[in-house]
Amino acid sequence: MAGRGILRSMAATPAAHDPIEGPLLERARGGDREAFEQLVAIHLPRVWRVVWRIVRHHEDCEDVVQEVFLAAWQALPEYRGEARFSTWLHTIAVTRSLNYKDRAAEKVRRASSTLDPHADEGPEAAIAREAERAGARGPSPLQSLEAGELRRRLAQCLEKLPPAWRAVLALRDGEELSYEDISRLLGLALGTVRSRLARARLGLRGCIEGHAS
Amino acid sequence: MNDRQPHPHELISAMLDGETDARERAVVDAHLQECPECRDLAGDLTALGEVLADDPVPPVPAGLAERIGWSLRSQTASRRRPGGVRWSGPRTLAALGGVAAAGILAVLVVREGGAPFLDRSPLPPAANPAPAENKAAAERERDEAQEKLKSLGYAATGGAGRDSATRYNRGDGRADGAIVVPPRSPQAGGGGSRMGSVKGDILTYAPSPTGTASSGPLGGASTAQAAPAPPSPYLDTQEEAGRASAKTGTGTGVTAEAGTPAGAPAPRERAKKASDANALSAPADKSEMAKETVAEGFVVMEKEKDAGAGGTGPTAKDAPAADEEDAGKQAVAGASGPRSTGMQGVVAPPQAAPKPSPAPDSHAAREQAAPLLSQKPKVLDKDSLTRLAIPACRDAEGAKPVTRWAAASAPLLLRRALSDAEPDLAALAARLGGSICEERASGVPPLIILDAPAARWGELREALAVRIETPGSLTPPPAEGFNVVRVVLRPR
Repeated sequence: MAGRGILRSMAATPAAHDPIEGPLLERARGGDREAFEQLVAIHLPRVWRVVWRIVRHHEDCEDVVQEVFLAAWQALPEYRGEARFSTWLHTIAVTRSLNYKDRAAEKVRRASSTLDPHADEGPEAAIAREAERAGARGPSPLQSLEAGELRRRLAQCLEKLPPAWRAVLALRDGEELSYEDISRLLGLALGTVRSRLARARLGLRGCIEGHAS
Repeated sequence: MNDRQPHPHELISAMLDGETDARERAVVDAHLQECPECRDLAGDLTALGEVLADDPVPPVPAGLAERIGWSLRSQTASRRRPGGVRWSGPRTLAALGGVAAAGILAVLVVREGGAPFLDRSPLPPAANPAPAENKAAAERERDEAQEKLKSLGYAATGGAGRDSATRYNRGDGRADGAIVVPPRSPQAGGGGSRMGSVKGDILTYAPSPTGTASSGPLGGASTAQAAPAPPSPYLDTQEEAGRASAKTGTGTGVTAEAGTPAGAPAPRERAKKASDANALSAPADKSEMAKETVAEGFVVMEKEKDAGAGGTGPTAKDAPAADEEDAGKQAVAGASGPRSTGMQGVVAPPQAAPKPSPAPDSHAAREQAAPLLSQKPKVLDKDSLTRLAIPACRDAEGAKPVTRWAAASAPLLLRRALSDAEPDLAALAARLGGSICEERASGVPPLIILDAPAARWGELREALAVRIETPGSLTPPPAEGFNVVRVVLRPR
């Protein structure tokens, strides 16, 4: 996960700072902690949301969010404004969230094995199996679920989803970022974003329907 | 299912996101017309996308922004010193809270165990057990207290003919980090004392001077004398001063514990307990004004010996008038042993006729009452972590009641000499509308006590974060109930 190359992708984007945020950013870059704390207040809700969608655990989420802002504060002198500050923060948020989940790899592995007994064979095979299953079944159970039940199962299945897949889902379906933005933010090729999203969705669908059956 | 071509899952997913070009859309459309499974898939993914977009996210926890601010400050401070520790994260905070809680628990255990340096809430007279039951109960309590102290790693030490100082030391005699501050003006025959405890870096307890008593040349082995004390630096509130006046106005020379009605005889068991406590205590050497003791992270500030005590006999300090006989017996019986320190919040009755207290007027009464008043525990009330009974930096005479919150006892950064730090801290205190005072005691490094208005806690915390080694130990005061916040600063 360390080699995601996320920060690398930030250089090409021109910065366009908010008129309120811009001066704060300048002050914060100069070491003004109070200014940075104001930036924290501005961006906390969104960072919290992104981290939550990936981490999905309250205390872990708090830890990661704190990490994100501390890391941002530390790295701020090196932030040259090529990307929007919010994008830059998102990058750190996603990276830290994924690293956090990596550190809890055992948990993730356990969850993945619960999700899919064939976890070792990789997502491609899983997709193929999902496709086979789709071909063999009748009307979609997912769409027949009552909304509350669907949300409950979704929450369970999201926790079982590999964090990297969860991250793209969070950015696309949660934050409604474009594939290009996600690609830039995560340092991934556009095609990778697309395929990862498709896998994540198919995996979720299979998980939810697995619960349903 | 169409067997002639693979299902374009990725394209379907991307098309639902509007992330396909015209050619790709055409491919997908064509496929969907032929493939019912993929039509199902498209329907499912659409539904899934809607649910995902509505996936509830819990609100940002209250106070998270503040905690991040704290972490930033801690990080800033730790970045300025090599090997600094970052205090951040709810679990770290929880751990710190756990340490603090454990400390409080330890103090409570000792307190409940009848440790002589902590007061106990008095029973109302009607609830007092009969004398015979008292004795048995007192013995049980003594045994329990001994067990608890042993379990805490204390060993009772002491010797005959020691003076009134009380010490609890670990069996190995180790004493590190504790801070004992003697009274500013110890007087013969009467000693203010103060004690407080430091758990880690958080001051958790600050009780009190003892009652005044003298022995030896002045009073002999069985004589306790109520002696005038200096204006109490320990009073936390004017209300206490008022109560003190009322108490001393009884003319008994004996002070009931806080909460005991003025003039009411203290329960017999209290006197007994004081005696029992003495059995556990280990008086300090006479030449010592104050000593430090530490036990597993919590420190007990103890009293100094009576400056003018020349006798070797013990002095019971903890008996109400009604129990004078008992107290006298204890005093005599303990002629070769330690005497009560009064830290239990009990005061020995004079064996000889006590001096009548002056009229409960104002300053004189307050002066006399001061050491007695300060026996009232200022800590461990449910709503506050701690209050200190050590003196205000600036005399609060006539000022509104002061309730202090002990933020921390923190080491100065980089072993900064106190002499260098003092002007800086004085300027800081002045800027915040507070003040500093310096405490010196023989054998221990001087301290700087900084008091500031609680309302300016944020500024104080920020300013101190760059001056001390453990900014994370600074504990913010509760929103209400304290108008002064205090930090005790010490060199490493």
